[in-house]
Amino acid sequence: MTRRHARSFRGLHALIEHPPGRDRTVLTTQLELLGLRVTVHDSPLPRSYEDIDILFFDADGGQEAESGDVHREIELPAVALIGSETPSRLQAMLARQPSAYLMKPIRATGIYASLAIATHQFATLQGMRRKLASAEERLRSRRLLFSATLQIMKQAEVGEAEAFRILRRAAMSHRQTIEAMSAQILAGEFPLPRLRVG
Amino acid sequence: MARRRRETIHLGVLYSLTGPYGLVGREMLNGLTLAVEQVNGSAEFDFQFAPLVFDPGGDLQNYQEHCELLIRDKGVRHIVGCYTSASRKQVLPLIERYDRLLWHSARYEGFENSDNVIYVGAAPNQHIVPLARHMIETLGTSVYCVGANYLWTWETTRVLQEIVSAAGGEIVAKRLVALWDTEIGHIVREIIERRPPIVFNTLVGEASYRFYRDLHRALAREQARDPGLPRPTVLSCSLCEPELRLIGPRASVGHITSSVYFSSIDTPENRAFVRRYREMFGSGNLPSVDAEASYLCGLLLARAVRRAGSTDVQGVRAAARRDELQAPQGVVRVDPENNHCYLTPRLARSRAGFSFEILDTAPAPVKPDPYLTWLDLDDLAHRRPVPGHALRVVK
Repeated sequence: MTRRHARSFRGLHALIEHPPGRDRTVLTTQLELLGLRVTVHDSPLPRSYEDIDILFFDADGGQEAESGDVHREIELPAVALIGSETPSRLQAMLARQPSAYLMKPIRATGIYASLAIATHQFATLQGMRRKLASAEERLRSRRLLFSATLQIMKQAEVGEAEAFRILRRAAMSHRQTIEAMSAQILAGEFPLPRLRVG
Repeated sequence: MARRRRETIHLGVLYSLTGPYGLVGREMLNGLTLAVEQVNGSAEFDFQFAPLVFDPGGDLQNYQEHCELLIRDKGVRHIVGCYTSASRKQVLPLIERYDRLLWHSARYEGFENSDNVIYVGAAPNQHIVPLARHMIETLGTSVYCVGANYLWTWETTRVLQEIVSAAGGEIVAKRLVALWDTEIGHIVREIIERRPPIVFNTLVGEASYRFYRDLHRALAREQARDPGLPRPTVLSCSLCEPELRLIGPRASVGHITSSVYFSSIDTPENRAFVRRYREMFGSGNLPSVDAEASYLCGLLLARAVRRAGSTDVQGVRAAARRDELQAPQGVVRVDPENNHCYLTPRLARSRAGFSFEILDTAPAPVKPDPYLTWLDLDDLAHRRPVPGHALRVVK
């Protein structure tokens, strides 16, 4: 495929979950004009999102479950198509975590902006999710590191700075991360003499 | 002196007279017809209305097409119409694009505010909020909800749920059936089993009538076995006089409704309105809240056209906002802030003879609050049931 310019959405596969009618026709026509491949889906019942790049969903329709709305978390940029601004509908819409929205009646104007906002917001959100996951991982490891340091302090009868130095040196000499070494120390795999030698 | 020839003003009417909610559509047309007759027969107006009635039959696509016909082919500037929010959302883009005025008579769930609509029906603070308040004060806070699976149910139930939660109560169950589905046997069985003290009903049409009938029958059977069994109170924001007749003489009695109009309001204005309604549509008929609201749509429009001196949308809207009408329900005026109306909420209990006994009336017309911006949950939360509380009966 030839290179797209930075803000072209050519070649993306859009799914529109909305009953047929004028709104869906306008949206389909405009997305195709922008070079997207469009699939439409009448029913609010779930469909696979496997080959979909961006989802447009009807925020008005759908059956409300008796125990409140239950939706899968959508792992792709989603644009809500909103008619009713009642809180009950907005709540159901927000549960699907849209990255952008369009107000009905859908006009050609605004669709391109919604693509730009949705893809950008989703990429930002994904980036933040990745950062959060790694920060959470590090936070979990900090606890190990702290416990391992405490154990060395007790066993070697040294202060915190010295205990940490022992830990770091052991990790370096075994070519391991300090967190992985901490886990092994807590599992009893490195008794104090070995650590000191290490 | 020869009387000047009166100008004819074509008035668009978009009411579904057939289809699933044809009964309400015919009620609304009756109300509007009464207003048109009053205007056309009065020397106070130097014009007369010629309604162009379109019947979308409850089909959303038809609403759009008929609205476009009325605006583009017939050139009307004012349309009285719509009942469901789905139908209003269909025509609203056209009304706004062509800068026309829609006179909307139905109560609705709120959260809308178009400069091109005059909302004459009740806003949520004028129907569900007074009902919830009454419920908390006199009946309790444990509610079973049953309704059609659509916007009106979702939204009114949400408001009720928030108020009930704030008061420390709970929605014990929420049962939804597809719109126009009349299979409600399982719900009646569950109510008989669980015996909730309060049932909030947002079913529509035949499903609702069948629900009242089947529940009445099942409760009668149960009480024959054990006369001490308590009866749940059924609450609604929509039950009206013509529906009582459809439910039947016994099953229609004893249900609580929140509404800004009941035909039993005892004022000279309403007595005259009911008399004229019966003269025109048969002595066995009583006007419903929807009939009164469409009557008000026609009358407010006529008075605004007279005041503005033309049918120009901007002029008529400005004139309507300055009007104050002595309506069958009491004083009605348009709130310039949001184009909704000051209306008088009431609570009533259905009684034998297909009418309502009014239990409570707001002391003055209530300012419309379509976004429930001013709803105070703390205030409602403190309105706990008072033992032996007697309702003020307004005659």
